[in-house]
Amino acid sequence: MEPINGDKLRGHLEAMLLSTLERGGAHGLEILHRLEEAGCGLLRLKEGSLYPALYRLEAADEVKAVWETETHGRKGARRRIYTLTAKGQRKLDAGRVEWRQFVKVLGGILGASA
Amino acid sequence: MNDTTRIQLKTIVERAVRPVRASSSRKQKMREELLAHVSGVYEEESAKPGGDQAALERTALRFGNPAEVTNQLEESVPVGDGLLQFWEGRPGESKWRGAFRFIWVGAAVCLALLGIALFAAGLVRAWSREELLAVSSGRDFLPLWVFQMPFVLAGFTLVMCWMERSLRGGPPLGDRRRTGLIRSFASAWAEPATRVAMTGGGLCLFALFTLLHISANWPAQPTGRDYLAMSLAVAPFTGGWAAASVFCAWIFARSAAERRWHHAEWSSLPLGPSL
Repeated sequence: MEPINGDKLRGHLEAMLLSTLERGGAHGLEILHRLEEAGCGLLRLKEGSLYPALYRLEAADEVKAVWETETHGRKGARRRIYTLTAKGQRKLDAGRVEWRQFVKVLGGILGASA
Repeated sequence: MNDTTRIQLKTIVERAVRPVRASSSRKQKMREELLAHVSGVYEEESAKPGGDQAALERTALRFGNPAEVTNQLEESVPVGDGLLQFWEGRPGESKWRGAFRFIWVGAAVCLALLGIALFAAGLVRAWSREELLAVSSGRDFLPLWVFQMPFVLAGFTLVMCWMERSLRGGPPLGDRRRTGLIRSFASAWAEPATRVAMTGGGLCLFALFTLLHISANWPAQPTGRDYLAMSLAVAPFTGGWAAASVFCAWIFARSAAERRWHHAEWSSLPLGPSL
């Protein structure tokens, strides 16, 4: 199967990030690992693009971020741990409803119902 | 991970972050978080066969096109960050330019606060004709705000610059900032140059506040009153203000010194062509 790259992911990235955080707080790299795991290795995301999306979610109060206290030997570079907020959870729930509707409509048109 | 590798990882991050139009503090956060990310990626990649250079190349590839990341980072900067950009000034700007901006922004904030206070006072109790005349003619307020505030702001700014200069000579503040305000203050106090700046600045502010207090009350003084006695009477008050001002100046100086140190560290990275 062909990998799913950045262009195809556009528009769904934020919902996917919220979904990964439903499993608990995580830093950026851990979020990527969760995405890869859930996407069975078929997701191809440019990793630098992850953080702007997380910053947008944070500005919208849909995720909350705190700096970790330990740098684990990375010489001053700390990670931020992102967690889902109640607003983010509501957005995720709404996103799931929209997605089901989207798949149903497109599935009907393409003759390939999910 | 050796220092050379670390510099190369920082370069990967800096290619994306340097062109972003955002406040220094926001870019500082971006750099730190992205550096932590690429460091983690590099650790994963260096566990694979191919050597360090190949691991670095794969790290850069996974990070993505710097120009695209720059655009995405810039889009994530909130509109309100513009105010912070203005407050923080251009990275690497001269100390005097920064001090001048601090003074006039401080004066603007003080005048805005005064306006709000006067408006609120008018809401609580309607102004009498005499009070309104006193305020609008400037008989009561203008001397205080026009003649005293510039001295207070200028004094505060000079003390802040002195402290920032003393902090610049010490070790990087990065770790101090994480220890909390009080512990960080105690750590700064341990530096002799900073201790001198804090003590000297505090004494200067104390003298300034005492002089301003005397000058503000000058026409109202009864004849023959001993000004030394009056100064001693207000000493706890002016001393408290001076100590609080030193602490506030140190907070501003600390963040300014941190921004300068951070700018010096990252702006010296030669970006060169992408890996």
